[in-house]
Amino acid sequence: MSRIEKLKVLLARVEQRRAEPRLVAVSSAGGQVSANTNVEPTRTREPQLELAKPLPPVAQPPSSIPPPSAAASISTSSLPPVARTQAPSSTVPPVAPGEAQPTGPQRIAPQPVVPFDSAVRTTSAARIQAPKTFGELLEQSLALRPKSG
Amino acid sequence: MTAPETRGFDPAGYFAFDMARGSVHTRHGERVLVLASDVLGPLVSTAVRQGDLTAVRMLGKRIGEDAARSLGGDVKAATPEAVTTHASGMLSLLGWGTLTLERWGHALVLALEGAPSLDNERLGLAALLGGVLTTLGGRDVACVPVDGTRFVIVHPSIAEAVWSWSKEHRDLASIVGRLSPEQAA
Repeated sequence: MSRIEKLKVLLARVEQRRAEPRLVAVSSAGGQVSANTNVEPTRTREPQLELAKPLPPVAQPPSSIPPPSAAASISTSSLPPVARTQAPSSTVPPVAPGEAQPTGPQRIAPQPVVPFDSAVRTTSAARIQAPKTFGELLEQSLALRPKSG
Repeated sequence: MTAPETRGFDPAGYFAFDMARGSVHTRHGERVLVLASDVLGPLVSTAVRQGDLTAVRMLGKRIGEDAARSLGGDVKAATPEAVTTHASGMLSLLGWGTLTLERWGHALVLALEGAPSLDNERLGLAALLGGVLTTLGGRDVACVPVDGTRFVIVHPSIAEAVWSWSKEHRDLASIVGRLSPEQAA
């Protein structure tokens, strides 16, 4: 092979290398970082060739990889268990006193919150004047003390 | 504009995994660790044996802070349903189970379903929920385990007494029945 032919081959390799400059591939969907094995090492050192010019950044050091935080962020749609969590809503039917308690997430914050009459014999007056806010309910619970005697 | 009262809990984007730096942060910028529950269990058991659950309670307070931020308004003025929505959402997101709120007469009772097993007497979970409620309520709150999933919310000064009734295997109705509103002086 003549010198000119060798140069042509080398130039062709250079063009191919420019077309595939990345050594590292970051897959945001899979959260993976993998090496690009298609990139061939450059062996030529002829000063007259374009190879002598600084190549575009081919191999990026790991520290320069942009943090894939956005890609790795959890989204509701990708997490079935979280997405299945049913937040309480005002449409949750109240459970009548004496009825079996509902099971599962529907029990979250029943509306209205159920007084268990049979268990603690809450008076009618107490139910009518039941406070509405979380703070009032909490204060009421914190004000409980052991009955004397 | 959606009022804080009616806004649901939004878990999207709560965690950000930074692979380059090897760290996980919440959307509020706090760095967190993802731990296996069977690693955390023995640590909590040890804390229970040593009688110091401060760290677990602190974790609960952090969860309460996030729930309050998620709620986005005055927690004490919010409806019990709204507060429970966001507290339950945070606990679910972090893998602590699902939270419900019950009223037994004047007493508030928390039920935590699907929680990881930490210690036999569930004092770890009680400390966690106590921390959550302390932040949400803006004052010291104790949660006492009373049965398999429930914790009665009481003033810390009577927690020991309620806990002793619970250890006597009294059921929730019996325990609540032994409490009455504090008489004004």
